[in-house]
Amino acid sequence: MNETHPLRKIEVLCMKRENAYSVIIGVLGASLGIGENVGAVQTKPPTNVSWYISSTSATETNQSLYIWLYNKGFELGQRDLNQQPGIQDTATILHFGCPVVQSGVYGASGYGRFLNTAVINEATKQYALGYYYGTGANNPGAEYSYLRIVVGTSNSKNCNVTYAHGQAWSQMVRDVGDWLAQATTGDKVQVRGGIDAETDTVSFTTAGPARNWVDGYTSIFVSPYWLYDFGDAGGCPQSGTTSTPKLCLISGQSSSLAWSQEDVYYVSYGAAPSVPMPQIYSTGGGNARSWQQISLYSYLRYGFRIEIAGPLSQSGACGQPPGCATGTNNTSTQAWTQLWTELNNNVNTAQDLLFSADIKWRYRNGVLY
Amino acid sequence: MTQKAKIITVLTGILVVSGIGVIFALDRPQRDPCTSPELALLRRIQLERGLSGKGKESHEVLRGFEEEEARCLNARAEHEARWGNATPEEKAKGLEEARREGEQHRKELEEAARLEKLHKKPLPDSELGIKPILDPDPTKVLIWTNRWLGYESGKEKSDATLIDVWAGGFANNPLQGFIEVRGKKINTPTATGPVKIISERDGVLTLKSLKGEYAVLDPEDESKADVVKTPGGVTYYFDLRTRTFQ
Repeated sequence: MNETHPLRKIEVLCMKRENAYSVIIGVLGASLGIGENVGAVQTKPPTNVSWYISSTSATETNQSLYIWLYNKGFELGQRDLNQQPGIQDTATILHFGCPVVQSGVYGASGYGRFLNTAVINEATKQYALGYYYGTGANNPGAEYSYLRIVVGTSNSKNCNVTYAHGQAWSQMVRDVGDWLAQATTGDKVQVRGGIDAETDTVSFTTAGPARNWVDGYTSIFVSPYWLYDFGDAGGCPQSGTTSTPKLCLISGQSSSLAWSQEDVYYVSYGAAPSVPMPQIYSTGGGNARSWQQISLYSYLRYGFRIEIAGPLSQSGACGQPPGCATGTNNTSTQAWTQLWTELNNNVNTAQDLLFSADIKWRYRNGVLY
Repeated sequence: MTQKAKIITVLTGILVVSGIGVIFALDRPQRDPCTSPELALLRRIQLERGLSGKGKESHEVLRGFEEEEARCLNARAEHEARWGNATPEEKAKGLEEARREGEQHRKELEEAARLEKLHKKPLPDSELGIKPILDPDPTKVLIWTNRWLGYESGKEKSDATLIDVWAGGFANNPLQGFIEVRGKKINTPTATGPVKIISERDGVLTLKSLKGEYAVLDPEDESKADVVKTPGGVTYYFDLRTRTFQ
């Protein structure tokens, strides 16, 4: 179960090398039996800074949020234009906080200031516009790199984690997508949905409401507006997976409320639009092991592995006072290496990853970043 | 076999294997820059599992991503046709023009922000007072309980006098409570548990520490944890003017 298929190793080597010369070396290496450690881990693409869009300052206005997002999008565009060689194809998560309905209007908590879907829609557009101009717009010399913005919420327990909210979120993502389709900005930027689905039932919901929310999103899902699950698999087994789902048990929490591997599978991949981009925070590799086991569970139960978009780390947030919980400050490279290695240590879950993201706060401790 | 023959044999072997490598490389389709990793992933899934009428394997899902790819190809082709022969000077000029357009857009946003702030009214009473904190701290370093939003007592209601106070405790030491005012955390004078805001009167907040059990989860394996019990039950008073506990 834990061996890597020889053909997989060659395939990985070949994917790592895009020119013929490198492929020759790869084939030579493999045929001479020295390929075991050559290109052992897929090269990590550029890591995008993702954001907790916290608006805890009561003095803030929507327009100041738009400017901030525009500037951050512009900075990312400049990076892809000036600092990264070649065409980039990356993803950024904008996490607007948990689902909220206020006076019948759908939106998100904004980590302290309610943001309705119209505001989130506009904020996302401004980030897209910033990226567009940052890469040179459509002018001579412009870079045609490609960005997808993941507009995220969560299944926080105190919030409106419902089917109807999932629908409203899906509609909002489609609305942004429709706008991008009409604008030249859409030549370089696309939008996706996102949910930070977590299994800790003290702070987050049980699986039922989270599944309902995802079903709501799915009910009006239109391709290509995939739903990225950038949540966790806390308490899920790190070994011993079979085709029968096991519980994700978290210390001190009732097993009758616990999520199962099937629940994590469904929310992150089983539902038609869902693709996981999981939190790989723990420095010892526990998170990566749990997600490899979710993928293995899918293989054993349904005959196919879960395909994982890539890891989300939080080293940016850990660097902002007061930091993060001890042992959860993987760098983006550590997260990438852990996840890729765990997945590719088993022929049934072996795969390459697409994106790398690292999240930090917009506001933290009264400081605007 | 002589040394020379050995060398020739090894070199011949390398050439043969290299030839296979070249054929392999040429036969391998190069990834088009417009084929996003998502589309490549989707095609891989569909190649392995076959197209079906539902889920990720459906024609509709594939079509959505392929339309994105087509748009990308068109945009790049048009750009190349229009600007492909641009000189370095023209490219530099084009980028400078984009920077100016972007700067113009930013200025428009700033002007809109200025006007919005100019016409901003004080928050209605319904939005003031003690409020729940909806999100747990995603970095799991703080335990939030609730917050109080209001204007500084006796002062004109403006952005400058609006105070947003958050209360709670530290996840790695749940005994220690604190409140946060304008980004500054002030610890409770004694460590009896996370604190919750109970009321506000004349610029003084009344807080009470919570009795409970808090699991400090093992980040490697959340099925394991250290449990910390907090006695709670202690009342604190915080003066918003002096930013100190009384």
